[in-house]
Amino acid sequence: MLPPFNSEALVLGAQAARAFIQTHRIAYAQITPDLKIGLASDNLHALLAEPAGLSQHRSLSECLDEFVGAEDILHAILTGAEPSYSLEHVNRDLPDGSIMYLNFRILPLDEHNPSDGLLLVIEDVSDFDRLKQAIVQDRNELRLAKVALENANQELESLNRFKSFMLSMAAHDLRNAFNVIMIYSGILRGDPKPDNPHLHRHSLDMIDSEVEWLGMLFNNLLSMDQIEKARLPIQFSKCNLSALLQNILANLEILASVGELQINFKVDQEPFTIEADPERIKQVANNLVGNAIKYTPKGGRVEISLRQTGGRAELKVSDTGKGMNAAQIDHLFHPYYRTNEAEKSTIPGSGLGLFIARTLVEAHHGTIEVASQVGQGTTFTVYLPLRQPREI
Amino acid sequence: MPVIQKKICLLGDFAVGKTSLMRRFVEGCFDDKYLSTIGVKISRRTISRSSGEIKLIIWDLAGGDEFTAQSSYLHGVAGALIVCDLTRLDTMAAFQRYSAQVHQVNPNAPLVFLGNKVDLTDERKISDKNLQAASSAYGSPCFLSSAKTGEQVESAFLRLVEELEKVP
Repeated sequence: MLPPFNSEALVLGAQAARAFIQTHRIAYAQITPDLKIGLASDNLHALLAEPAGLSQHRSLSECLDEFVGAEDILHAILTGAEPSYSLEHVNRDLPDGSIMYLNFRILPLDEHNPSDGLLLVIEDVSDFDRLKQAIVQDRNELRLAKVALENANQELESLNRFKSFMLSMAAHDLRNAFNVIMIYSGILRGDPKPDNPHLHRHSLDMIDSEVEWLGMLFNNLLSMDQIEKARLPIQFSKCNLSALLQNILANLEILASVGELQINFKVDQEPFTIEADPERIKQVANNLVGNAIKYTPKGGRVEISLRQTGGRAELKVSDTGKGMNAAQIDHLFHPYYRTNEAEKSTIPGSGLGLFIARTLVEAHHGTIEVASQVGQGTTFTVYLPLRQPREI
Repeated sequence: MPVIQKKICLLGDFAVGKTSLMRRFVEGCFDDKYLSTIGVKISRRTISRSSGEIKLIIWDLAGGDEFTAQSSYLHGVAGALIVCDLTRLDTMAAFQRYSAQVHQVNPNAPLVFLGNKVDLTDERKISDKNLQAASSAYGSPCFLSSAKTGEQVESAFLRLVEELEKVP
């Protein structure tokens, strides 16, 4: 038996629903079984703020982008397979630059007969979602700040390790060099007799060679500091590469004579003028030739050649040293890298020379290559442009 | 000429630049200010193709925690751009999660991977090799993009359109 019809209760219910809808900024529309817009509440256009094209009998997905691709699930609601479909926190830009947030919900008009059509309910939840957005914004900014802090921390730790390592390496190399100087100066002090010229000469050569090495070490440490601070100054000017190399070879002559090495230098033109920073190129050549001299066994040979090829200067430094394998070559230009053999040897080295050489060559828009064979020797080839490219 | 509507989604962790990529693609502009998205922002752009016009309905979804709560956003998705921030390694780890969520709804949806913020060269943490390895696991193309400069943004979206056209 049906309950008695009570119109007063219906009117009251309708008034309560209207009050609720107005208070909560809710709009609604009927969706027909063929997914077109039917009847709608008066405030639908106002609530959506962008009502162009939203009209009765038009397809829902044509009027509202939110429902493009949603046809399957809407049909599932019409067949009773799905109870409803919700889209929450849909952003809409307002003309004043703020964002309106809407919740969309689609459910059957009559849950007992879902195929009769659907009800679209749209609620403006901007007040709540703006608060939520502010919280999410703060949280995400904190997370980003944390990531930035972690990165900065890692960089600082790496820098700290770098400094400690550099200090210990420098201390180690300086101590070795000073030990050698002290030994030979002691010999000179204890052997004042001029009748042993060979020992006298050898001691002075050893002291000179260590002083030369110390000079290179200081230059490298200074360059490393500048590279690290990204303020490596390069002053381009016209320089005679051939004269510069001959000057370096003269300075390294003592080191070569200690190792009883044969040094050959070939150049295909005089003067050999390029646009470069002479001090920096001197440092590159010093490192390459200095390494070749240090790591070539007694009686070996170091060959330096300079020629022009393909519009570039080609500087080759070859030695008859122990050579390196492919794995060693892979790491050769990394800062502080020294081969196991070099580490075990008494030959001083910081592992910075080749890293610095490559950095300086690249700062000259050049390249550096290495070819080596174990037991045969090593060749470094530097290519430098004759003229530096002009920035536009 | 027929107009086909396709729903595509931009997915990725928070602050990887999804909203900026969408703005660059739709409006051709960029704003440095970071504004977290909650929910979804829907934009559209129509692309002319030889086969007709394709109206892209682009869903820019909130990243990270906000997204996981709202899988209904993916209903009817035809394809997706999955974005990571090249300066944050952890944002690439989420590729797998977002790809799985898209394919759960539409197993045939083509994906395009984007390593965004390529202009921040000094801060980069994800290498080309890592990005390619992650995208090739899905047989999907990947792009190094910058919403700031516009680099590869258009190409990435158009590539997704090409992939959508291949889907029967």
